[in-house]
Amino acid sequence: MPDLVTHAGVGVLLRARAPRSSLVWFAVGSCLPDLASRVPGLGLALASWLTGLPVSLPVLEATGLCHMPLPYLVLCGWVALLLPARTRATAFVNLWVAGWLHLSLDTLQRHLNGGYTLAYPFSMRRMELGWIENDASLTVAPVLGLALLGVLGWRIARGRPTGS
Amino acid sequence: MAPMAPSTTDPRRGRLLASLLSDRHRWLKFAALTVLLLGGGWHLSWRLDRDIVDIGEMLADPDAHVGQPVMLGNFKVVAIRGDEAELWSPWTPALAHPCPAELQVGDAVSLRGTFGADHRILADTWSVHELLWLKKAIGLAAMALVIGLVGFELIALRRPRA
Repeated sequence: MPDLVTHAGVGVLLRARAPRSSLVWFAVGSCLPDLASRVPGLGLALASWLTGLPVSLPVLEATGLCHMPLPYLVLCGWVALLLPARTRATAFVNLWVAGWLHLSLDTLQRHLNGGYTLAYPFSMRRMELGWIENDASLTVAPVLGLALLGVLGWRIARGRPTGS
Repeated sequence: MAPMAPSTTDPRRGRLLASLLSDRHRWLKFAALTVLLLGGGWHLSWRLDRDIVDIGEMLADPDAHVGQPVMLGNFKVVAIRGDEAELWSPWTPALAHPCPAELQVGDAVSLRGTFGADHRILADTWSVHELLWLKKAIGLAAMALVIGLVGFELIALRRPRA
C-alpha cells in the first residue's frame, strides 16, 4: 500500500477547494482504511508478543476487514453515528469517498500475496493492477506531505466551516 | 412519450441517507452496525482459517504440509547461516532458503515459496522492506494528524454558528 502521507496528500489536493469540514473528513477518510485495519492487527501482534499468547494468522488477517470496500462503507456509517448530527452526513460521504480513493490507490501497487479481496463478502479472489512497486510512493511522499500541511494549514486558518 | 431525463439529485437518495444518519433510533442503528462489523470480522476469520494454512500450522505438523505454498509478510531476519535465513515474527519463527546475497540481519522481509521436506521454506520470491521504518514513522505521523483533525473538527462544531 502507499504510505499514509501519500494517501492523505492525494485526497487533500483533490478536495483542496471543498468547504473546510468536508476537507477535514476527506483527509481523515484518506487514512481511515489503513488505521482501522492495521492498528487492531498491530495491537493484537503486540499483545501476543507481550503475553506469549498465540494469535492465529486468520484472526490477525481478519482485522483487515475494514480495508475492503463494503465493510469500509459500514465502518463509515458506524463512525458517522458517533458524531454530532450537524456533521454526520458530511462526515459519512467524505469518509466513504476518500476511503474508496484510498483503496483504488492501493490496487495500483504490486503485492506478493496478489493484492486485496475487494469483492468481499461475495468473493475471496485477490485483485490488483500491479502498475507500481511496493514502497514506490515514498519517493513522492515528501512533496505530498508538504502540500498536505500547506493546504490543511491554509484551509483551517481561512476556510468556511460547513459543507458536504 | 419522451423519456424522462435522469435526475442528478434524487430526493429519495437524500432521504434514505438522512434517515440512516438521523438521531431517530441512533444507538439501535449503531449497535446493528457494530454487530455487522464484528460478524464480518468473524466470517472473514472463518474463511481465511478454512482457505489458508499458515506457517505456524505447517510447523506444528510439518510432514502433512510438505509441498504446500507459503507466503510470509513482514518477518524479521534474526540470523543468516550460509544460504539459510532464520526469520521471526511475534507469532512464529521460520527458516527459509536460499536467501539473497544482500540480505542482512535486522532486515524486514516478505517472501513466497514452498514448504519443504526439511521443514524449511524453499523461497522463490523475496521482498526486502528497506524503508519500513520510514513507512512506520509516516503511519504514526498520519495517525497523529487524523486524531488532531478529528479533535479540531469536533471542537469547531461545539462553537455556535455565526
